[in-house]
Amino acid sequence: MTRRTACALIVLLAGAGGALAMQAPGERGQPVAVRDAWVRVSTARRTSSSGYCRLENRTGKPIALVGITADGVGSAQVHTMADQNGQMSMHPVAKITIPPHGAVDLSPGGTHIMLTDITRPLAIGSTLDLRFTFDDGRTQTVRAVVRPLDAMSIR
Amino acid sequence: MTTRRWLALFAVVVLCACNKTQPAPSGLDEAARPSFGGDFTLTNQDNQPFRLDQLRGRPAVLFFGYTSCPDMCPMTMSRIAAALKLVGDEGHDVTTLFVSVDPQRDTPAALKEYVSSFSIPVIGLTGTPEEVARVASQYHASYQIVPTGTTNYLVNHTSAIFLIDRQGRLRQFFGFNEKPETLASALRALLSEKS
Repeated sequence: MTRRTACALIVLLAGAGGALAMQAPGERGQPVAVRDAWVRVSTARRTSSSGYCRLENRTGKPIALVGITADGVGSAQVHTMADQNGQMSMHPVAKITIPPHGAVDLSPGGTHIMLTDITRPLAIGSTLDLRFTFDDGRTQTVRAVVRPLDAMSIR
Repeated sequence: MTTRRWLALFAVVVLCACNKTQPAPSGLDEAARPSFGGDFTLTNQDNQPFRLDQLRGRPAVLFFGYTSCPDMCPMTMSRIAAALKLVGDEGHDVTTLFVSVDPQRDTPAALKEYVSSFSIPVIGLTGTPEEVARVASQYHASYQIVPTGTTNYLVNHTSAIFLIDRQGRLRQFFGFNEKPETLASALRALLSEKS
């Protein structure tokens, strides 16, 4: 293999890796498309993080996200933010309903995924597989990219 | 103005700040300044005493938060960083202060790791629970521990971004989700004032 071919192969593999990080394994053909999933970095000391993504319902019926799990994460819950007299608080929600042919954004400062008791620190650039459970009993694995603490989006 | 009335105003301002269609800046009238904000001493991320009056001559941004905060604190710090970048070179004269409302977990070492994660220089501050409570009270900030059913816990806390002028006076506060452009404009105004 020439040096040029090797370089091209490395670039190709790197590109493929990036694409895989954006798209969940086996997402094609799923009723829900999960876009741009990412989580914030965590450390051995700071064992909480948050996750974000866009959920798109490809069907004509409402679909609800009712649970999330991830290896190495003690608890993953969808939380909403509420303002109580100038003090922000977070509250778990039992489910997030995605309207037919509609979308829900889980985003910074809004409804988001809260990850606590993370036993395996999430390093920047690595990925975390989140298993989403929907109200029809179906589960879908979503691969989230680990971003810096002060990131505001996947990019 | 009583503390209760200030808290009511504070709530209104933060609520306004959450409404993206409305501008959020809030001023403080001259009469309120002596009883709202002011000097304090805490411990920085290098385990050294930090006095607010060390910053005399330079404006500061102050935020109450905690390092285990999953969403709002990193987002707010990101907005402050974005605002300072908009200000440009002059923004280097502004000191960003992160006061922990979780002194139990937020040791100087924990703060050092945390503040180094941001793209701007940040001074992390902690203290004894009593010291932190005193500073929060000065700034009319509140916080409560929220158990999660595990060894972990959350802390509900005041979400305002406080702007302090070159004389150490609290001048304005904004909601955590304020647009960086608005923060930058307020910071430029503080920077334009003479020491």
